Amino acid sequence: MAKKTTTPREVENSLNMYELMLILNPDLRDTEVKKKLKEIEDMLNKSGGKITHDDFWGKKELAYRIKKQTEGYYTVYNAELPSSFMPELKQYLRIEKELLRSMVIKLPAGYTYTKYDLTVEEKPKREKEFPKKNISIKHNAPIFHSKKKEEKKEEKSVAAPETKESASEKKLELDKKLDEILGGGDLKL
Amino acid sequence: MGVIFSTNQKHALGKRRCAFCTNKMDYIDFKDLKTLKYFVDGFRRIKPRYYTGVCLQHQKKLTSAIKRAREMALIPFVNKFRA
Repeated sequence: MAKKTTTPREVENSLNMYELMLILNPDLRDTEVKKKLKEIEDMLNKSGGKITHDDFWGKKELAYRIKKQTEGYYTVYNAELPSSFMPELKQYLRIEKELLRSMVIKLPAGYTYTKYDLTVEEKPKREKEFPKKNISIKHNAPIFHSKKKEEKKEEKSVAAPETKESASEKKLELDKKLDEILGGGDLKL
Repeated sequence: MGVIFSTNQKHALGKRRCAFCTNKMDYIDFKDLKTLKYFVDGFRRIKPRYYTGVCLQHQKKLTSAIKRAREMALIPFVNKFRA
């Protein structure tokens, strides 16, 4: 197997439009933030490119926590840079301490920077209104018993004393008869 | 911007036109949150093409824009409750 001798490729160096978005640590003070931005701009200008647009958004709330922070300073740069500068840039952004996130994008030709409104309106919550029923409570009638149960109870209550009365009446009649028989008088059979 | 998007639509079978093709948007910016929110449901998941009626070329650009916005903390990856 013959060894393949690889010669270094000639990389074409071309100027392209790039977009750089950064999120900085929110614990920094205003003066320190300006220092950092100047350092980054100097870094970009060293390469021989131009910065066409720069936009500092300020403090903005994050959609999720990054390194236990809920806010961050956002900046956006549109710059024309040579493509051979990219490895240096990415190395610099990787090492930088105060950066939380960074992103580099290649832009299509004929793109102009536009500022968008970032506030997204939330839909108002619909509050359901349930129709109110007029409930009239009768205080005299019992609430927890149904009609059938009431009837059964009345029957039972009425039936019970009758038997008792009949039994007591029968006893009296028998006693009277015994008295007649034993007490005296003519037997009438 | 004057962009036409469909809302309150169960599926886009009747409408066979892509929203981006009619408005002639070649580049979908990931910072443009107002247009991106129509293609994302309550849980912030990307809606399939069947419901929005977007053509395949623009759907691929859309997904890359939404994923970039998620990475830069402009849109969350997932919402716990449907909002």
